[in-house]
Amino acid sequence: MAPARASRAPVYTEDEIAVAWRDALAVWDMRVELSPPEPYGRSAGQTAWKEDEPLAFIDMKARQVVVNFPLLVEIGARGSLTAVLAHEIGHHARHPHTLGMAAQLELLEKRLLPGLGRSLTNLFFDLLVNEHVGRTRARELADVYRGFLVKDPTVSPMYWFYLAVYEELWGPEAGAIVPPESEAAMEARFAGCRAEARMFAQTFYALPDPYLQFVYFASVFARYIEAEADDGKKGKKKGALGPLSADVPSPDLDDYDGAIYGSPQTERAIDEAKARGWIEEGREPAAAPGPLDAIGQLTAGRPGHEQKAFRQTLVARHYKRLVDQHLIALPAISPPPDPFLPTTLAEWQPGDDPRQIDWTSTVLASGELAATRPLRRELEAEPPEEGAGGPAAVEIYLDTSGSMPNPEAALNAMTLAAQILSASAIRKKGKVRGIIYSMDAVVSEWMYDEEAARRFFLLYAGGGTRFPFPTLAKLAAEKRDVIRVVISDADFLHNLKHEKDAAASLAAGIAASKRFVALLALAPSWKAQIEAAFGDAMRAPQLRIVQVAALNDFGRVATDLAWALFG
Amino acid sequence: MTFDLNRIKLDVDAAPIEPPYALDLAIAVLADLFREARLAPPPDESWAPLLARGSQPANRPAQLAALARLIAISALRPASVAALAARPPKDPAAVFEGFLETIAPVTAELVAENPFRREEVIRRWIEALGGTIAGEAPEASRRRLEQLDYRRTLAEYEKAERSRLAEAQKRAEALRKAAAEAAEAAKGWRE
Repeated sequence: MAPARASRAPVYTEDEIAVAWRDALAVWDMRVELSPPEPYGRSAGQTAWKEDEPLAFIDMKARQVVVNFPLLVEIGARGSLTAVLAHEIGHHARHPHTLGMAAQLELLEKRLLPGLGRSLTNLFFDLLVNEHVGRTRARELADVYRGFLVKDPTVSPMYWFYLAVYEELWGPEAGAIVPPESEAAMEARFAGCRAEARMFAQTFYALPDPYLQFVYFASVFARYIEAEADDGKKGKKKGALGPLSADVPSPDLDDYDGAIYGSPQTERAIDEAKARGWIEEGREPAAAPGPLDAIGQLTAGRPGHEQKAFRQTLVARHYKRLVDQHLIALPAISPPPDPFLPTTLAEWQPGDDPRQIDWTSTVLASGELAATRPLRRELEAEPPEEGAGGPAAVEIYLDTSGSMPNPEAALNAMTLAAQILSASAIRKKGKVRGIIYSMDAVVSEWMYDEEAARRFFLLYAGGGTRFPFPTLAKLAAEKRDVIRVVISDADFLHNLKHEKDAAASLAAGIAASKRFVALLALAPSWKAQIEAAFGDAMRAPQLRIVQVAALNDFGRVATDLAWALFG
Repeated sequence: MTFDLNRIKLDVDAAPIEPPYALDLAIAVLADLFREARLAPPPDESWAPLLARGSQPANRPAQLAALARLIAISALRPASVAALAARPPKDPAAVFEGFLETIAPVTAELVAENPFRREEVIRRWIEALGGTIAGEAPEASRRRLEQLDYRRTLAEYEKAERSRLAEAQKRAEALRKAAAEAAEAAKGWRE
């Protein structure tokens, strides 16, 4: 019945909104790139306010504050419009300082409060914003929180404590917020909770940086969050997180991409919190996660349909960084080759470059008169070798069986080697075809785009190992003069020995290759077994076998190989 | 005599960071307040015993230094002189005695880094001089002081700390029990 709602008279006049917006901007005393507020629905075409949406938020696409004006009136907080707008401006202008920082705090939260059902970073930023807005408009903010309690009186222990902090911060002038009858029950369940709220308010806002504030926030709130989780297990209603609790824009992929590598501020804050005795026994934060673990933690809390793409993008970016650590960045324009081949002699004329004078030839030709008739000789670059150069075509056979970890969960050295080789070839204007295999093989099209190749080589099967010899034979028959690289371990030798027609397929594959390189994770002591398994193929001039003794060496070896193959 | 608390806070916030005052300097600053109000300051020999008694005497010298700095850098100084002149105390040393006792647990570090504690110290000093806050009803001032009362908060907070400690012990015990059960289960499986 949205049209009926739309047909009502506006709850605020245009002038009222304009004045409130001006006053809200004055609270922060700074210029912001936001349009004046719109009623919910007018800018985005919505007609109804969903239950779980905040009272107000910033539509980052339209760069506009959106407010549910009727709801504000319904909860009896008509006079709080300026405070609500100032709250939203505060999120845009000050807290979070950047969305990158918000992403870092999200990861820190997972270390401090593992297993948390819903993130509390928004509440944390609300505490910071409301302190500033509350300096001049505490009563208005308190009215909004009070109004929502009338609408939904369910208050979890954590939300009770959160509201008590505001009561302690704003003082009696703003009025009580928590239901008076709840005080005794909370005190009985959490002895000293009121004093704790006061202590929190008078400590939290005096801390010098947001990371330390967040660790303190988590350490104090943990007690109430745990109780809320226990209540949830007993089937008690969880309760809302308040009217302004879901209004901070979410960090984007770039923000998370920066956050997965951790930050020194985070570690410093944890150390200081330990020194101040805020970290209780049994609540010690987990160690800083590695990048892939951090991606896993961030992914876990996302909606199912988003998880895969989110995870893949971050993992791909992580591997790109690793590849770039191994490969020197190529200049955008290739410099001309250095001239070093001497050409025929000619007479040097004044004005010519004196460095072109060939004094040896001049003395031999003119003897004592050499100084009067110098001869010059120019140098030129070597012409490119006939048939050489041109874009390289590379087929990479990557073993993704269970002997190596899933590259999305932990660093997979073989995957990294494939990434380095494919990136090198594509950066040299080459093309790459990937063959991912375990028990079955997945074959890509020829890939010319580094990102597409990167994502393909992040595929993982797990399970047993069966090298796709029929695929090798088929592809070899299709295209000759391809550089073929196999990245595997001892399983490759086992397959070579036991798979049907393996030797013949390998021979065909090698014969149809410009180079055939086997990068095998094998210690030097395996040389005899390698020779036995390859048999006659060892004599093929195209074949190179590279034994990689330690998994950590795969990156370096692949880099060397890339330089040797593609320059 | 009314004190402009907002102005005092602005002055304090704008003052440059500097090391704590030496005790001699602090006493000189505080004694000058009395002289400017044409009153006799506390006798020289009264300072040492003042700083050695009370519920937390170890905090007193630094608290006195912190008060002297707050007075020296802000509008608290002229207002304090006026308040002393308007209501001369019978026993100047008693002014400090009462003041220091009300802020007994507030260390100088807290005053330096925590604006709430700073406000508490300033309000307590104003209270000790019998002053009022401009634009604030006496009842509101009393409630604000009650809210800022660090002594009371610490006393009540002890309950929370004890409760948290008990919860932490319970949690640690549960973790130990779970670990022991897991170890026992693993042992049984191997056998």
